[in-house]
This record gives sequence, structure tokens and C-alpha cells, in this order.
Amino acid sequence: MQLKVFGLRFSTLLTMKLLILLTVVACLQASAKGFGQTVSLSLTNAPLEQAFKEIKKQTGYSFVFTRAQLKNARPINCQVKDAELKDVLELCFRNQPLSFVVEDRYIVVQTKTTINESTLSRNSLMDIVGKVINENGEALAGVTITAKKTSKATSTNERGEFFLKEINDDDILIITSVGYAKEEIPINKQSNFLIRLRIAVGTLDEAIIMAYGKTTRRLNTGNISKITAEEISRQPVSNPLSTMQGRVAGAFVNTQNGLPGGNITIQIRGRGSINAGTDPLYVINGVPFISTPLNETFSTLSDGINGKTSPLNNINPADIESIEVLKDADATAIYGSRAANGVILITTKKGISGKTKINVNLQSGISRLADFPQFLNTRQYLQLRQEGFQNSGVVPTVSNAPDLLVWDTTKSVNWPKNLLGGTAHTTSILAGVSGGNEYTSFLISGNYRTEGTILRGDQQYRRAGAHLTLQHSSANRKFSLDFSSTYTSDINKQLPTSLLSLLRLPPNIPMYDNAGNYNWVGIRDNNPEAVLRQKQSSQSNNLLTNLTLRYWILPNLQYRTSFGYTTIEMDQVMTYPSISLNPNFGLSSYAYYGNNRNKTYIIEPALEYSKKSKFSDLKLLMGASWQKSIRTGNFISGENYSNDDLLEYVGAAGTTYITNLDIQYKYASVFGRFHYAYKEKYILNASLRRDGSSRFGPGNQFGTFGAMGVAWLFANESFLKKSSFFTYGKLRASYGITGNDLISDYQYLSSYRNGETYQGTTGLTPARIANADFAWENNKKLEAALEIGLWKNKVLITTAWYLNRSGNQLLEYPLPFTSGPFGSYQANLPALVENKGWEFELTATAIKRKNISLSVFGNISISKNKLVKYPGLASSSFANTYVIGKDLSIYKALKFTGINSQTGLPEYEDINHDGIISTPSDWAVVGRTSPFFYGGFGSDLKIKQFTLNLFFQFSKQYAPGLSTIPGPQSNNFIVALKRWQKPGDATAVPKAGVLLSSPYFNLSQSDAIFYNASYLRLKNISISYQLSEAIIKKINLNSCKLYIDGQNMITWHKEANLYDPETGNTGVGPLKTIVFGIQLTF
Amino acid sequence: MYIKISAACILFLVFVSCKKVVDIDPPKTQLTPEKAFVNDQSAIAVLSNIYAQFNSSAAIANKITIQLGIYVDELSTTSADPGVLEYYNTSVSTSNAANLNIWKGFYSVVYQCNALLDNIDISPNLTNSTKQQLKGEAKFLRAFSYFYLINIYGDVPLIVTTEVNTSSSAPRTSLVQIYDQIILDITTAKLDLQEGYPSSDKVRANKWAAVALLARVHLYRQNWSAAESAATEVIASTMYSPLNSLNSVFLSNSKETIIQFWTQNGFTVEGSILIPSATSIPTYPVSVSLINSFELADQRKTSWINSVTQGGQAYNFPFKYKNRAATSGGSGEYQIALRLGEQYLIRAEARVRLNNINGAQDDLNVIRNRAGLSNTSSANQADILTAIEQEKKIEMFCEWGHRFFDLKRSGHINLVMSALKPPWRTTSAFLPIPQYELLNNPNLSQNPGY
Repeated sequence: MQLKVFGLRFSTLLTMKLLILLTVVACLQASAKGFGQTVSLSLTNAPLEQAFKEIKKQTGYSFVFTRAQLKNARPINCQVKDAELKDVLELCFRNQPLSFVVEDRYIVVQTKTTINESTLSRNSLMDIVGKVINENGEALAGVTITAKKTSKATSTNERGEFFLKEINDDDILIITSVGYAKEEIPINKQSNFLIRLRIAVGTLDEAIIMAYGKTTRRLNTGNISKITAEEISRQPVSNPLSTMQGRVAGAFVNTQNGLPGGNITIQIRGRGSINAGTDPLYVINGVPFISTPLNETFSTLSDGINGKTSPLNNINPADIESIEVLKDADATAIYGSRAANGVILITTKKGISGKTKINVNLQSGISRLADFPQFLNTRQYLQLRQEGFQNSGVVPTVSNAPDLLVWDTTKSVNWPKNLLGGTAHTTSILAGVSGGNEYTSFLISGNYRTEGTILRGDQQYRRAGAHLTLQHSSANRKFSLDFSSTYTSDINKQLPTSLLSLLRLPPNIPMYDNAGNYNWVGIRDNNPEAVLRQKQSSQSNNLLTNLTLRYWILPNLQYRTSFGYTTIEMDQVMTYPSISLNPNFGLSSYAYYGNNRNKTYIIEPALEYSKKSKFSDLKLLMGASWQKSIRTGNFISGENYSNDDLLEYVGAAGTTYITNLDIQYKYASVFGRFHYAYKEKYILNASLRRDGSSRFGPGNQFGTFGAMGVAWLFANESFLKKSSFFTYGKLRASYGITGNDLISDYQYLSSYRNGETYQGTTGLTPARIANADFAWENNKKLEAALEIGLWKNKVLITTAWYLNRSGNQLLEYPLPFTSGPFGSYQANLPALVENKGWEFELTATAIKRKNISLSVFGNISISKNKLVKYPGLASSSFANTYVIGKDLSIYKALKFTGINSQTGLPEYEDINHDGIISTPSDWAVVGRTSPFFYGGFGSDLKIKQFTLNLFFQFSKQYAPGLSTIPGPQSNNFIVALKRWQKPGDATAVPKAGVLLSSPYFNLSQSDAIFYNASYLRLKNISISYQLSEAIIKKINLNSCKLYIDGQNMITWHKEANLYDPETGNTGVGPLKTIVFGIQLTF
Repeated sequence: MYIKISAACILFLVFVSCKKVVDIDPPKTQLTPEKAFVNDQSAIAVLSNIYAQFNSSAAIANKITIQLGIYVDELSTTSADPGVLEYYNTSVSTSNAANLNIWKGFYSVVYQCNALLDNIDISPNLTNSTKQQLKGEAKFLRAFSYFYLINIYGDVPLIVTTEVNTSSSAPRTSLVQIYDQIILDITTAKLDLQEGYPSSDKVRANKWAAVALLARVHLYRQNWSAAESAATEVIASTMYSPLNSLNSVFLSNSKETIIQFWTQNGFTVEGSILIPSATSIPTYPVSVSLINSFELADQRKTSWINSVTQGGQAYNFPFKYKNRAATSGGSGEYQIALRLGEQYLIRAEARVRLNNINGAQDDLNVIRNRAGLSNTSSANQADILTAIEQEKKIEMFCEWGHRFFDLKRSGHINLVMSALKPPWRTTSAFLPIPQYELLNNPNLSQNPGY
């Protein structure tokens, strides 16, 4: 199937609606193939150009020529009917001073060399014209063409055409464009060129999305890491953030909960804020995306077993073309006040013009919890309990020891396996159509994903989405538009109650009493069987739309405006029928209903000017941004239902309590960027942004941010230019100021809100302690980096060093409750927080031959965080939390010195030497929870049609866990087998006891439960087989791939008392997933 | 085209200069203080929210009753919750959640009272009578809260402002100073408040609520004659006598109620926790020692205590409040804070101390006779004091921590508790200052023993 291409110069078609396009695509399926097309001509003494027009009209083949070339052309006479195109062309060019070359869908007109010879003999200088197109035949504007010898340079216009005057006829043209592989073409006395550029992949010249533009790894002055669609596609996960884990130096990705929808946090280059948000700014196709979990708005009551749900879960990873992580000041400062924590740019896939392609990807697999905690079995547990009663001198009774006296002591349930041991089935389908012509391209795709559950019951996650993109440009290439829209809807059915606290139920606890009712004796909160009667359903809809209109006012001056609209909404229902509730709490059936909606509008006009000359490349950008977000929601808690079957229906509630939310957020900025490159050796980039945010009180709303970056491509200097070892070298540095406005809205406003009901009317309660004076947090970022490429860039090494300092700390200053029930208020502190670290990245192509290739890659980030200064720390509410000169994540606890071998009781260091152990006065810094280092490494191996990709991820870190106090009526980790039992025992686990005193309680406030949570994970393994061309042709396919992907396959870690090293004891760990899939392209 | 460029530039300048682009409206869900106090009705809503703290989500009332009940010798527990067991074993940890909630609950009331007193004069539209009434109620509630804070924690920070720098770094204030503030607040409230209730039920404070609290405070401070005269004022008002029959004491608007907290569905949070469902065992059964303390003929043992048999074992549970869930019909219950019964016992104790033996016997007998008991046989000062302590243990059991406070006042607490609970130490008479507070207020110090 060959798609028609409309003329280069003759088409007058300006706009095209999608519907028409689709019709055209459908009609053109029938077009004849290749060069065998037929033409009918009837021309008498006509100009050659007229023949070209006719041929183009009939065949769709475009001609590449200049009018100067046609000056000497002879009129033609031609009468043919249904003749082969090639024959007709030969007829037309007979006796002409011109010849032709057919390339793809272009017919390039060339002046016969015989004519040139006469001029050459006098003068070896000539004028050159040409056109640059991409692989799909679309004209490329802004491509730089440089004559190697004279360094004369020009760039293509919006039609992809260029003109170079007085060039040596034996010179070489160097063609470069961002994101395309560099081409070198010898002139060889030719004067007319059609140049086709190929998209650069996996090299220094691969396109990288930056703020408001594009760059390459080679020419970038800032620090930007990229994750490609290919890396994303190999990972069978539902949240795109999961795909980044371990792959981006400097970005610490942490799963909070491995169940569907579970939140994933990212911290880029450490924690710069004491307690303002540290989430990066997410920008999807240019539109800022609110990443705050929508169920975070209201009380923690609206958390289910999967915790906060990440809105990023509503983005289908398969729709993503690339994820770029912007880290240093140079890359981020143009996002001004929101850039302090880094920026994550997500770009969705676009259509590729050319033959209409249908892509189908089907995968199916299973997930299980990777690791189960090991607890005592019934015999071991009961023995411990008996010992506890004995040690404490308490006589077990029916009420204080039902596990010993009432329940079946021969029964043993492994609760972790019982509650979390299921197998979840995952299926996902993606289908898309893409295509287009020289002016318009499109992509429409749909996806559906369903995930089962590892829990008991019928929990499940389903997601369906559609993605549409459309690019169009006018025939004269002065105007273009870029539209994309993604709609995703998902429904997540989970349990509204976390089961993690139930894992430690006694192994012999019965779920039912003798009468067959749920047992509530010995159950503190929930009976896991009864919990299964509860339901949680969250439904989210997410629409991301953006439209960019561009107009070239001058060939090198572009005006554009981007419009974005994002809406995300979430409806939640959580039902708790009375039968599922512990009757000891005296609760009747209740339910929660949450509706949250977030709408964001953004308009960004911008002017971009670029000027290329012999040695220099100048780019100027000036723009403005205005954003408005409206967040509304309500949370309803219902009680007094007449029938529990009506719990999902709020109208059936006899009593409802409603909380409303209404938040407006506005944001306005102007920004500019200056970029200048000299001889591709010296590059200067500077950006400036003035921002205003409604989160600050009157007078504090505006702030100015900016950065400067410089780069020196030293390998391009003459002393290294000839080296075949040093093929790429860049030194770069950047410095700038960014800000952070990740705080709650309206904190400057003193107000009252709805409170509790009294005497039938709703009371009014103070909403907060207002502070009118807080302002931006300033984050100063400094970075220096060395990038080198060795052996023809087969080995690429990047070493980056950074030093970020955040001052004017914007924080929710913790308050004691003597200041009211709020717990904190918004304020600035003159505290200074420093993050510094090293990041190393390596990519090496070990083997690259026709049938076999192997590359290895890895990165490691070492980070150090420090509270540099904090005037008045000792008299502040952080006096017990932070220490000057130490990490913000320090863990303060009692220092556990061991178990007294005579008494069997835990002992601690008396830090203040007052003779008694008390908290917090005997606390010491025992470690930190931020990672010491983290990263990932992997390899891509390709042998013929087979590929094998491996990826490992690691982190060295510590985390607090659950206490291991032996004695209470709850199960213990197997480490409790090593407990103290008789005088003389040397152990780290105290003696069992049922009457617990402070030495026991202090155990959970000591470093005895501060565990080594370092781990190494085989994050991803992917094996695929690409069917050979021969087979594919036979079955009429374009390509066919079969694959197996595995995620979180093996984890190596030390601490058995943590459920998972990544989620600790607070969330379900990441699931181990294996899928089988097939990908077909028609 | 240069027009277009300049137009674009002008557009940018508009963005720079016009600060309105980031101005937003106040949220529709909130009111500025001016609007919150714009009229009587709205100002009353601000006050109502403070009352609601005692029986709504903060539910201070039941926490005091239950946690202090299991802490001393009133209640035992079948719960396996370590936080509950810490109370039961009298080894409350500094990070105990219920302990923090009690502290937070009372200080939340204090904060809201302070905020009301700060803001109420903003509005010119409030009627003077409402303003005076609201100020009086806020001062009453503030005094009421401080009374509990000092009796649970000892010296606590005295906060009478909403100024955050002061309130977040306040050190502990001596008991004497706080009592002075309490008495100042109540005596001002007494003047501000009317004899009649400002609400249709007895759910907002009137003058007698202030006087009744004053009687208790004077008793605790051993100002015997002041306590006697305040209690006499309340009793003599005749608004609250005669005492109800035992089964109707805790109903909404019962005769002897001086002030009670409104409940939405006719049941108290306390009732819903203490009364077991048909299939469950009580989480907080009445302790054996309390059961054994009742005299044989005491009708309170059957009216105010109920029992249930589960799995062959009988459990007694407090049954002053009889509703554990919403009820239809007229027997709604509100959470009682002050009632006349206590005033008789206050006056009896004050009279003994003032050597008015007969007067003391008379007051004690009012309580005894209502319970179906004969007149007291105690005749000398020491015996009557013991008899009053015993009577109060029975009459006021599982009500607002009376037992704990009275044990401390009589000095019997160490004797009683160390016999009952081995981990008891003399320092256990005060609960620990919550660790959260110590972490966030470096000027605060912990009670001895924690």
C-alpha cells in the first residue's frame, strides 16, 4: 500500500479534517504499488513544468527542482495513454538538458553534468539548492546545512528547502537537525539535492524533549535523562512512574503500595524542603499535571488497602513516547517557582505519516506477592505466650488468653499467605492505527487492561482508554497545528481496610465462633473474613487535551500558542456493613462517598526566533503562561441505613455528614530563554522566569527565577578532532534559582469552615492558623558535568556533580495542640537545606554486528542531604526532629544496648545520664531513612531475531519496622524464637511478657527496629522473538513479535522483619509479574 | 507582521503588570472571621461547634470516662489493644494515642474559646445580649477544660490567646495560677450568663452550670465554705430537684441535669462503646472491685449496671446510658456533664470539713435514699468523709473520671492502686504529657516518672 503524497509546491490544500483524512486513507488503500504506476498525457508544445503538474496529479509523485533549472528546458510533445510512469518520464526528459532520479515518492530533477562542465572549467564554485525531508517524506524546517570546507551554512525554510551560494563543487555538505542522525553528503558537482534524514536513536543525537523545545544529548547544556517508549513497553506495569525506577540517575522512585493504583513517589536529587512538597512538577504534553492523589483531600479514612492512589495511574504507559527527567537549574529554571524538585516531562505518542499501519499488542500474565513475612507457627506462638504469662506472673484466663485456653491449639494459619497469597491475572490489549501524508498525520489508539487481585475476594482493576493525536501543517508550511487528546477511565475495586495489620493475628485464632458467626474475641480491629464483606470502588476519569498552533511570521520567527485542558475526577464508594465491623466498637453500618474533580486550563503564547549563520546558532524564546486549576469535591459519610444492600447508595443513608472542597489555584508567568552556540563548541543557555502564584498572600505572590548553563564540546577542538579514541567530550556547568510552591492553598487566609453538628445545626470551626507573610522557597542549584564518548561513541560516560541549596524554607511548621487542633501552620524559616551528590551513567555497546549486538548500561547516584543552618532550632518545634549538619531524614531513637542477660529485659543508652530512660530526652540519631546510594544496571542482547533485556535496580537504605516485642496476643516474626529464656542467654530479643512496661514499649522507639532495608532487585527481564521477514511476508504482516516480560522477579535483601524493603511494613510490596504477549503490525 | 510581534509583546507586558491574574476568590466553603460573626445565628454556630467537641468526632467525654475508668478501679478490659492495655496496666506510654486525643480535645476547646473571645467583638451586628451570653459560655467551657487538664496532667501550659508564637512555646503554668484563671473565668461567666437556658434543651451553659462548676473547683481547692455556698446556690435554685428516679437520670433534659451535651440520634458515644451488641462481650466490663463495693440493697447496682453472658461467662457493664444506637421513641440520651447529684456530694463533703455533721448527713442521705438505701450510719467527721468517698464512688462511677480525681484528693490513691495494679507508682497519679507535645514545644517538660 502506498500512500499518496501531495505536491511540494502546488498543493493549495490548507486544512484537512480528520474525517476526510480517514476517507482518503481508506480510498488510497487501493492505490497501485511502487513504480509501476501508469500515466496518461496529452501535451503539445507544452512547458515541462506542466507535464510535471499532470504527472503529480495522476501519480502523487512530487518533483524537486528549481525554476532556474527549467529555464533551459524545451517544450515537450507527448501523447501517451496508461503508460508506465518511468517510460513517460524518460519521454519527457528526452533531449532535455536535465536528467531525473526517482527516490521514494519524489522525482529529483538534475541538471546534466555536460552542461555544467563548461562552467566548471571556468569556476569551481556553484550554487546549491535542495530539500530536506524525514523518513516519511515530510519537509523538515530549521535543518542546518553546512559546507565543510568553507563553513558556509544555512538552514531550511518551512518547506524544507535550502539554498547555498558559491560552494566548492567538491565540498561536503553536513546536514544536522535536532533529533536526526547527522548526514555528510559530498557535492560531487551536483547542484540539486533531496536529502533524507533519519531519526537518531540511542545516540548522542537522539532528540530529547526539554522545556518548551527539543535538544539532543550532544548539544544540551542542562541535565536531562530520558526513558524511551521501548524501555517503557518492556515493563508490564500500569503506572508509568514504575517504569522509571532505577533507570534515571538522581531520581529516587519508591513504590508506596504494590496493589493496583498504589502511589509511587519520586524524589529528584534529594529532599530540598523540610516539609513542603518534594514531588517533581509533572508536565504532560506541555500541560502541568496535578499529581496529588485525589483521595488525599479528605481524611485518611478514605484510604483503602491500596493507600493513596496515584493519578499517574490514569496514564497508559503504552501511550507514552518518552519520559524526560529534568534535574539541574539549566533544564528546570524555566519552570520557575515549581521547578525546585525537578520536572518530569511526559510526551505521548504521535502519528507517523506514511503507509497506514495497524498495531496490535496483546499481553496476558500473572502477578503474585514476591515475599511473605515469616511468623511463628501455632506451636511456637503458644509456647511464647505461655512463657509470657509465666514470666509476668499472670494466670492465663479465658478473657486474657483465649489463644491458650479457648481456641483450637492444633490449628495453624499462615495469615500472610492466607490474606495476600493469591494470584492476580493481568490482561492488556492495545490497538492503534496511524498514518497520514506529508501535511497531516494521525494516531488513534485504544487500550484496555484488567488486573485481578492477590487478595481474597473479587477485587479487580480495569482501565480503558483512547488516545488521539493529529498533526497538520499548511501547504506553505507557515502554519501548523498539533493536537492530542487522551481519555482514560478506570475502576479499581479493592478492600477499604488495610489487611497489613491483620497479618500478625495469632495463628490459631478462629474466624468463626461455634455458632458460625464471625469471631470477635481476641480481635483488636478487624476480622479478616468479615473485612471481605466490605467494598471499595474508585472510579477515575481523566482527560488530557492539548492543542498547539504555530505560525511562522518570518522564516525564522515562529509564534505559537498552546492550549491545554486537563480534567481528572474520581468517585469513591467505601462500604462497611455492620456484619463486617467489630461489635466491640459499637458501630452500625456506614459508608463513605467521595467525589473529587480537578480541572486545569492553561494558555501559553510564545515567540521563538532562531538564526543560524556560519559559526553561530542563536535561539531566542519569549513566552507567557497562564494557568487556572479548580478543584472541587465532596466527601460524604453516611450512617443509619435500613438495609445493608443499599450501602452503595448515599440516598439510603439516614444520616449523612458532608464535607465540601472548593479550591482555586491560579498561576501566571512570563519567561524567556537565550541560547547561543558557537562553532558547535561553546554553548551558552540562559533562562529567566517571573512567576505569580495564588498560593501566596497579597504582596508575596510574585517571584523571579532564572538559570544559566554553559557547555564546552572539547572533543570538537582541533587538538582532539582527529582522535579516534576520544570521539565526544563535553564539559558543562549550570547555576540557577528555582522555587517551590507545593503547599496547601489559602494558607494566608484566616477563615471558618463547617464544623460539627450541634442541636441540629452545623457549627463553624476555625479552618487554620493563617499567616499572611509566607513566600517562595528558593532553591539554588549548581551542577557540573563531564560527558565523554570513546571509540566512536561506543562507550558513553556521564559524570555529574550537583549542589542544591534550598533557603527561605516554606513549611508547615508543626505546632503543639496547645496552639489549636491544627498541628501546623504555613510559615517560612531561614533554614537552609543542602543536597549534594554524584551521578554516574554509563552506556557501552560491547558488540554490534549484523546478527548480534550487546550493550550494557548502568547508573548510580550517591546523595547527601544536610541541614546547613536553622537559626533557633533548639527552641523550635523541630528541636527533637532535626540536627544541624545532619540529614533531614535522620532517625532519632533510643540506642538499644542489648538484652540484660540476667533479667531478659531490653536496655538502652542513657544519653542524658539522668539515670532514667525517657523519650525524647534520651533519643540519639541512629541513622537516616534517605538512601545512601541507588541506581540500576542492565543489558540488552540481540541475537538474530531474539532479544534479551535484563535490568537490575538497587538501593542502600535503612527503614524503621515493626516492633518484635514478644508476649502480646499477636504473632511475632520468627526472630522471636531467639528470645531470652533464662539467665545467661545472650540475645537481642527480650524475654516474653504479658504485663509490659516501658523497657518493652521503648523497644519500638529504639534502633532495635531500625532495619537495613537495602536491596537488589531483578526489576525486569524481557525476552522477545521477532518473526523473520520471510514468514511475516507470507502471512501478510508488517512485523510480529512474541515476548515474555517479567517485573520484580527476584529481590535480594537482608531484613526478614520488613515485609518488603521498599514498602517496609506500611504497604503491600511491589508484585512479581510475568506476562506473555504478542505484538503485530499490519 | 511587526504588528503581530508588538501585539505579542504587549500581551506579555500585560501578564507582567497585571497582578490580578493570580488573584483568587476565597473558597466558597469558608468564611472570613468577619462573616462568621456577622449575626447572632452565625456566632452561635461558632459556639455550638465547641460544645460539639464533647460528644462528636473528638468525643472527649467518653475518652475521659473510659480511659480513666480502666486506669483506676472502675473498669477492666477484654481488649487486646496495646493502647488500652497501657491504661489498664497503669503504664501509659508517652506516645499513647488516646492520651494525646484527650489532651488535644481539651486544648481544641480552649483554642476555640480563645478564638471566639478574640473575634466576637469584630462584628457590630451582634446584639449585646448574645455577645455577653456567648462570652460567658466560652469562659465556662474554657474553665471546664482546664479543670480536666490539670487534674489529669498536673501543671499544663495556660493558653488564653490564639497568638501562635505564645501558644506554641508556652511552658507549664503552676496549678495555682491555672486555678486562679479557672475561678476568674467561672465567676465572669456567672455574671454573663442568665438563669434560664439559652437553648431549648439544657445543652448550653446557663448561670447554674457556672456555679456548679465553681462549687466543684472550690471543693478541689479545699475552699470549703465557698464550695458549700456555691453548691447551696445550685440546690436552692430548685430548678434541678427533686432528683430523678435512677432510670431517668441520664435521659435528655432529666430534671437533675445542670448541663449536658447534645447528641444527634439520642445515644451517646459512651453508650455505644460501653454497651455490648447482642453477640459481643463488653470491651470494658465493670471491675470486680467496683461490683463488690455496692451495698446489698443498692438499686444503682441493678439500674446502672447490666450484665450479659457470652460463652458461658457473665460480664457486667456500665448501664447509666442505656442506648447504644439510635432509638426511636422519647427516651433519647444526652451526655451529662454536671448534675445535681454531684452538688449534694460536694456540699456534704464541704459541710463535713466545716464540721456541719448533720448537714453533711442530710445531703448524703438524699443520694442514698434515691438509691433505695437507708440513711447513713456514720456520725463522726472521719466516718462521714469515708462514707462520702464511698458514696461518690458508687454514685459517680464511670462519669468523667470522678473516681480517679477523688482518690487523688483523698490521698488514698497509692494505697488503693498499688494493691490492685503492681506497675502502679506514685508518679502514676498524673498521666504523661503526650510525646507529640514535647516534640513540638521545646519549653514543655515531662511529668516525673515518664
